[in-house]
Amino acid sequence: MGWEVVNTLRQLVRLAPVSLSICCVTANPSRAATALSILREVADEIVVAVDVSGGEQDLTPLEALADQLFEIELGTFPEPAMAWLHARCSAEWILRIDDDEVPGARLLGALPELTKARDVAQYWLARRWLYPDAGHWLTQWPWFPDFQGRLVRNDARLWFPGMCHSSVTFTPPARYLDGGIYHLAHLLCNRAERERKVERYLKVDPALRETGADAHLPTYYVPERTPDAELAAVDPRDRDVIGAFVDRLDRAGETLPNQRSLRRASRAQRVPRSEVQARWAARTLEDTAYRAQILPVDVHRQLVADDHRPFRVRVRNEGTEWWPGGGEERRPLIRLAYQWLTPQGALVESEGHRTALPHPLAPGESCLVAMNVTAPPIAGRYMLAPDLVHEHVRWFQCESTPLEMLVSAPGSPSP
Amino acid sequence: MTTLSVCCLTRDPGARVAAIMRQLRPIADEIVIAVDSRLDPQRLGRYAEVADRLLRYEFVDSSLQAAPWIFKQCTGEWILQIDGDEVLGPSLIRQLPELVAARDMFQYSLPCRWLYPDAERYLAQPPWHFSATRLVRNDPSMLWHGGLSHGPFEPVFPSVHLSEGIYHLSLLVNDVAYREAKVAHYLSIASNHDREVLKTDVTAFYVPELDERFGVAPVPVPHGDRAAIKEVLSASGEELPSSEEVPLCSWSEIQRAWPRRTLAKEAYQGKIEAFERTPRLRAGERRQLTVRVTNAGSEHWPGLDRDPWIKLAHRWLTPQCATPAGWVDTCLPASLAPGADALVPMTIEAPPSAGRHSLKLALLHEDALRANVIRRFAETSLPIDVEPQDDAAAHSSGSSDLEPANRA
Repeated sequence: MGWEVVNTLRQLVRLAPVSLSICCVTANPSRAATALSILREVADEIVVAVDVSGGEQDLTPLEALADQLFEIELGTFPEPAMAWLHARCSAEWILRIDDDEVPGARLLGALPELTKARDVAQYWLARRWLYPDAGHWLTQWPWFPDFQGRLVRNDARLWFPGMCHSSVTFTPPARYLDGGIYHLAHLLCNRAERERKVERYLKVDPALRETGADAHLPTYYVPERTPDAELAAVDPRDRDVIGAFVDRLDRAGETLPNQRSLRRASRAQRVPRSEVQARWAARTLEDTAYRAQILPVDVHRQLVADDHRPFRVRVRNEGTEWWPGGGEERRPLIRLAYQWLTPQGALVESEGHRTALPHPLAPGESCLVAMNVTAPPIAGRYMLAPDLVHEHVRWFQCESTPLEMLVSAPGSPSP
Repeated sequence: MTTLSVCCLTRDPGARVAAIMRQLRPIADEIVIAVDSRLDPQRLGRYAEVADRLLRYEFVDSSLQAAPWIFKQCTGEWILQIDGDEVLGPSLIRQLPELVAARDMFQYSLPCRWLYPDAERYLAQPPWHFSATRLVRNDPSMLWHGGLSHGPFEPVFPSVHLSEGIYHLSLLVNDVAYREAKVAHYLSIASNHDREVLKTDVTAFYVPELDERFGVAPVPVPHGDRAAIKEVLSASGEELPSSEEVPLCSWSEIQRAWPRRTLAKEAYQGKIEAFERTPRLRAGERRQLTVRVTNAGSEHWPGLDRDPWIKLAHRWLTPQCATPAGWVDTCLPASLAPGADALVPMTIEAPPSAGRHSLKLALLHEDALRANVIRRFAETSLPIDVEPQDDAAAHSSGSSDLEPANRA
């Protein structure tokens, strides 16, 4: 087969439609079904996780709609489940939508084209908060543009910090889109309910929330406090889809407590909290996680004073937890580091450079790491002691034998 | 099935290049070889024997300037970059199909093993023991090479450092005089590499005979790799005539794909417009402000911190300040083609005093290597009313959505 033919075939494969997963975490199956039904036609797959921490839920509305249906137990906020939920999605792109959101017509129309792009990793969608009715939205900061990282390439760059009110980790190349989603939070809850929601969010452990957003929370959820907030009419193209959403909710008795037949769906898979939280970046690690083996790979034992060089070691995860890797800021921040000691064991450098793991490591897995090492500034014999560190938490104190290294003065001939 | 392109920019002897490529043939879906214009175009037969695509490119300065261009010629889902004086370890060749089938990896770094002083030993010590990213996913959202001499691919994670790699033959196939001339050439290329980085090591790389810092201590090549090295080193034979004409890619075409090219005057056309209807800020407030940027010029702007580094910049002109504050930059979050526009959120901090202020906006072309401004264009200003401070929101660092613009 000639090269031209091969190339043409490859181009055709690339032009083939890519697939799209839609995912949603909800505590309100009926409302989620209404939101997702709008997207059913554009989705190749719908993945839904229903929070059952408050008790059994009626999953009937989702059974016919979802391709994968899970029952999970969330805490106060849904972000701990995001990494796990996205990992359930199998399509090349993932769009996440909340049960109180409606996609705009422009977004729906553009989805096939957006997911065809090969030069983009993420789309951040402008979110419009509807208020005080379904025909108007709040046009001013902080409600708008309120970009949400929701349409993302489903690959190993995908990462979630897992903090309350955090989004997917920004991964360029990314595009910001005006035509996005509508947020119905102000229409679906009355003021008292929204104020309680703000109180609940502010009670979340500050270590687990994006505290920078705290000052805006009352404004976001209680626009009544800003009587001169600017409004605009909803785009006529979007009125029908928003109207249909609201109508369906009314018919489903959305405003009533969800107390219909409390029956577990036969198709739903119950997922233990531990499984969901195993990929939560903000989780607390057990002591059993801090077990590793570090073996030298590079054979040289000589450096020049103050020289900065890679030194390769093999790191094995002998603990019980999955460690992230493949990004400097991926938490839990488990990194390779080192100390310099004298041959007698006295500490010379206690906080050597940090090196991120190049990729995640599951228990039992190992990887080669090119550890960034700076030699001590004074020539002599030293011991290089590599170790892993969980930043701000602890050193692993791996039982590896320190390596004797000869450090020569710059410019001096080697022995 | 995942596909792999092997690409090679070379002017090494055809017999050697053919021997290297024959070893890779079983795992390569496509072999792309670009020879430089110093070779006789009538005698490229040995390259043609092994290449699925054989190209010529006009050589002017440095072959690395042609790297971004040759990657664009590759159609496989992965690209393996190899030089005409390198041999891939046989065990790595066997692993390649599995490596490129991995869905959760984007790049592989291969250890470079400089053979010295003979084909059965290599230098496993600084500075020769580095790894280089050579096996990369051919995905426009993550493949970026600056075309700098000795410059790497832009790192993308997750990636893997492999323990098996490339044997570099340079110290065996070239005499000292040739290698010294090579060093002199590399150090003379002023425009496309960071000389400070290079000059510390480049002499040692190519002329270990002269290096006194490290003291060479070669280690044995694994027995399983020796036959492959020997096969390539012993490949010989005169260049053969070309059976058909090989197209020549001009230097200007190479330059069009080279990120550090000089932009034409027509490239510097753009427009910046407000996105929010009536932006309102409180004194001292730090938050995200989004503008719409249009590329009205003739060139593609790659965005992020990639050359040509076109960025958005802003600064405040306040009635009280005779000297305006300095420019604050924001990277474009993605590429922008001529005629296209994009929303660009930037993090701004309002002046400390209330009143009518002017937010100056401009596009900036900066030299990414030397951090100096080449040109500022499309300047405009937005009048913004800054309201008195509100205790609740004062000095807020904003929501998490502030992050993206800063980190682009």
